[in-house]
Amino acid sequence: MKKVVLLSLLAFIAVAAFIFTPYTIQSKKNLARPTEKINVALKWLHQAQFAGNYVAVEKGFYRDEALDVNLLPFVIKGQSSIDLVVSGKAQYGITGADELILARAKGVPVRAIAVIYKTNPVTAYSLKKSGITKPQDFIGKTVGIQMGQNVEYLYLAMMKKLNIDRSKIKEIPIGHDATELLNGTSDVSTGYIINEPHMVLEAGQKVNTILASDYGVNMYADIVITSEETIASKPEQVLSFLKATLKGWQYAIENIDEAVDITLKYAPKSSASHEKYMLESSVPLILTGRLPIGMMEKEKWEQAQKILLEQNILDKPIQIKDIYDLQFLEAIYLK
Amino acid sequence: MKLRLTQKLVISIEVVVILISCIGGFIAFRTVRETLLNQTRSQTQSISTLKEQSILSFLNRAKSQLNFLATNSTNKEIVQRYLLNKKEVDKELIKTELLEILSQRTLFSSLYILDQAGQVVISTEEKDEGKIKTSEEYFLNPQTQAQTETQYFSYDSSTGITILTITSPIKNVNGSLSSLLVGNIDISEINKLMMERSGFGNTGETFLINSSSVTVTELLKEPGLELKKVIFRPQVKECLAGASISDEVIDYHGDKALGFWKWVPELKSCLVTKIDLSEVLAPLNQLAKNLAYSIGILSIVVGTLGYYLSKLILKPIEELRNEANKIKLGNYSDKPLDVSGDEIGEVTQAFNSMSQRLKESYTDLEEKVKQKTSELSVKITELSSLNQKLEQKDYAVLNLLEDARDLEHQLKTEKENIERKVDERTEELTNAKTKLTASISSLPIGFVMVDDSHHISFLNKKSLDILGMTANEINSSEDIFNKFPKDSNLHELHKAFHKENKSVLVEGEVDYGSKTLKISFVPISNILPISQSNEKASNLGSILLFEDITEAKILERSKDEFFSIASHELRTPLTAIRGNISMIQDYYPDAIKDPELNTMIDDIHKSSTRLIRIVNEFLNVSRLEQGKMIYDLKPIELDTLITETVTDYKAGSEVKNISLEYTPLPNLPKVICDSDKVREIIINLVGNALKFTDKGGIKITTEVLQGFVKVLVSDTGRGIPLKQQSLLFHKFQQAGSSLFTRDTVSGTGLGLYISKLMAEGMHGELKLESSVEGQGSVFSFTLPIDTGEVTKVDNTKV
Repeated sequence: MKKVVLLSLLAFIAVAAFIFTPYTIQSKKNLARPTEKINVALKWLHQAQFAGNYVAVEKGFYRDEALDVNLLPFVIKGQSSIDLVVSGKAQYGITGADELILARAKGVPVRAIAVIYKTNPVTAYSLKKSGITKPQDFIGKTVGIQMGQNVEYLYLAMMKKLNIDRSKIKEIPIGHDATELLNGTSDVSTGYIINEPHMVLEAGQKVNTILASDYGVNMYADIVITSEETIASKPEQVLSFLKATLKGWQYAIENIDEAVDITLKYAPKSSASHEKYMLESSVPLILTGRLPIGMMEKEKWEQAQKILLEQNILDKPIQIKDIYDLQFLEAIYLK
Repeated sequence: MKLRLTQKLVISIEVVVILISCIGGFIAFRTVRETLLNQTRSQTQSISTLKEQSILSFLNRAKSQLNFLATNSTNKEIVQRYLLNKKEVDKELIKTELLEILSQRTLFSSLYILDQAGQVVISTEEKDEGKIKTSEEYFLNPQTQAQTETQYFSYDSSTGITILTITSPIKNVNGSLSSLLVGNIDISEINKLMMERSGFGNTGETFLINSSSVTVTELLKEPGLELKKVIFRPQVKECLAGASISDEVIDYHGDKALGFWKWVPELKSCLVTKIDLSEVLAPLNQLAKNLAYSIGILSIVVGTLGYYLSKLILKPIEELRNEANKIKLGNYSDKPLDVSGDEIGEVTQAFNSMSQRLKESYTDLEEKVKQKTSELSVKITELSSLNQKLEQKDYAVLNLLEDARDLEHQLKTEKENIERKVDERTEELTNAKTKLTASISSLPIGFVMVDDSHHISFLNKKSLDILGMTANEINSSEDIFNKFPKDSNLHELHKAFHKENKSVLVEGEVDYGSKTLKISFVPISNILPISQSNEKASNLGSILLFEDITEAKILERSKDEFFSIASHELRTPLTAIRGNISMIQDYYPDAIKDPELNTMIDDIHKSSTRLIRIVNEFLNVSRLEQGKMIYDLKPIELDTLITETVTDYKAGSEVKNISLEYTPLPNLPKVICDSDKVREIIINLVGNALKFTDKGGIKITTEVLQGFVKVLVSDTGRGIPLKQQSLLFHKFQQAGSSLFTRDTVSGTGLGLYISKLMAEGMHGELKLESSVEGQGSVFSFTLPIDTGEVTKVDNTKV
């Protein structure tokens, strides 16, 4: 009797061991992998624009990939995220597609591995009561433009696309908020649909938004970049980083309130409503529903380059396929 | 654990019942489960089909509506016109048309017309006008230009809702494309269709997943995630590749579900129909619960029933047991047990007869036991006494054992001692033997040791010299004897020795050639101490001693001759002298009147007399020594003899003023002796006593001893010093220095010597009993009592 009990116990242990070994091996594999410390240079200051990254850190998605990620916000008057990646101070960066193209035209060895904002958030916004609902309504009005950036040239591209005579528009430079609109200095201002319009709402006013991409001027906005060296030497790390980042974004999209709370940890001076507005308005720009989060298309890159060329931001075209690397996205989505 | 029969029976029944019901239950369970699942599978499938149909019919309606609009010739004209002229009027006309569609049937949420540049020229939404839709995929798709097409789900940024886009080309009169009519259907319309879930339980739902794996319609468990939730499942992947799948899956919410995936090409999406397994299999839980309850109740019922039943069946056994217990205690009942009809009954029957027999044999046995018990008790008492004795013996044995052990130890020690001693003795013996052999070899006598079988054991060199033989010639005593002439007296000696069985010393003088040998046959027993002489000793053999006495003989002969010559030659002149002197004294007294002459004649007389005595004494001595003295042994009355002799000395003693007494014993037996010799002895002893005693007295007494009479002469004289006592009986020794003048006899110092020899010759003994300087001496001599027997004269010297 005892023998039977003993034998069955042994058998059970053996079976259990067999079943659980894969798990232990798996976790051992993960443990075996030494955690790599990496810096990620964000495009701007901490806000819900990078909610996916915050979520990936706080929910341990990076940790699961044996990555110890340090998110570096943009420092005013400091180095751009591209510069930080090039200098090696950051291994990865969030930057604008336009910036990348310009950098590549200069021979900077960085590449895009995914696009976060497929639809560009550049928008014009006006007070509802102004009745300005489309670019054509800008004529005879004062438009506040953030000079020297993609806001400016996307605005210009939009105007050109629509063949609107800009001479009939008063264009003034503005800062990075809705001050001018709210105080009436401008009839319509430009900014990001995810940001400034909410300021108007917070000020208690209703707002109209005129998204540039609605008017045939679209360009990838935030992209994830890394150095060509990192791609060449640490492809597993790139894949792990991207996987975790995209997982973070998916989670943020599905759990907006939780993502907002996490974002507030990084931007404690902000408000939940502001971050929530930003995140909610970002969702359709990130997940358009036709392609998975992060997936890039050649046509879109061509489109981006075209705009830059038209606006004479870029002198001459560059090899599109040099700009980005699809292998990691493909590895994630197409396996 | 010891179980009663009843318990065993009940448990057996229970086990069987439970086992059967469990197996049955299990089978039922599995069957029901399968049935449920199959049912659900077909259900999901049919629902899926239904849903698809309803969506497609919905879409068809929308499409036909759009198509109607787009193909309406009037509309076409107006649109064409507007595109050319951009007149507000035309725009309004179209707009009205579009709006009407919207208001009539709420399929579309917005409608607009795109020109060839992709710009929204006319829209039901004011703010849409002017927007450029060139980036829209449908705009780039040539297929769009051919016919009314369902496009895709997307997010409408202007309205903020998820839409499904349908396009319909507006063709010119001549058939070329003029513009595109775009209709956006609010997802909520489709959601409504999806959410129609009647008859599909609580968790049953359907939703659409687009080719990016993103859910486009609402999810039951996670609402508000249209175009946000990504569902990666292998089933989804397969479905998006165009397959239809029925499978179990873990749903987007983490619950187990049964699903059916169907590819809807029209929507380029996967229609997912699923229901939670928990809901599907819910009835199963109920079934399981019921089964469990029923098994529980069944076991109780069966248990109780079984208990009573088994009790009934086992009643006879109980009776048997009780009866058996009674018998165990010795109570035999007279009444047999009731017999039931079954196997137990047969046992009962057998038991009854057995019980009866037991009872009989028991009483029988009791009797026998009583008998035997009394016999046994007797035996027991016997045994106990025996036992006691045994115990005693035990102790004795134990003691013996102990003693034995001690003894053993002692023996061991002794043995060791003995062995040691043996070794010593052996060594001594070896040494002794060596010494003996050496001594024997150095003897001036021939020594031949003959063993019992006449073989020579040992002989020394001297024997060989004497016999004039070599060692090789002598192997047995026969070899020696054969050397002697046949008429030699050796053979007589030999015979005599054998006659005495080789136990008595035989010796004699034998002539051997020119030699005279003294041959002695010595039995080995004689050499041994008297205590050891026995038969065994005679077996050791004998010793032959050969002494060359040729010279001694010659010497003896010369001695004899000397003595005879001497005696004769000496005595003759001496006798002449004395005779003549006597004659002179007797017959010529006048001639010797002269006093000087008288003295001189007297002196000569005395001297010659003395000389004659001395010569006689010498001759006596020699005769005594040679054993040639003749004793005339007769029974004599000592008394008379002593008295006579003493009387002679009375005068002498008176002169010295000492007493001389003889105290005779009454009834003194006669002695065998030579009276003359005895007289001489007495004379000698008394004379000596007288000589050496100055005061006191001399006493002569007699004693009777065993076979002898002792005569004692005691004086109170000077006594003899110890040193000189040993020399007393030797020749020419005088006790004490010559302080006084000697008289004739004692002057020679031979007196005691002669007396001793004479006494021994008469088979007596003469010795000094005691002597103390200054106090006196006691001499004695013994003579054999006359027993009436004639004893042989033994010529051997003692």
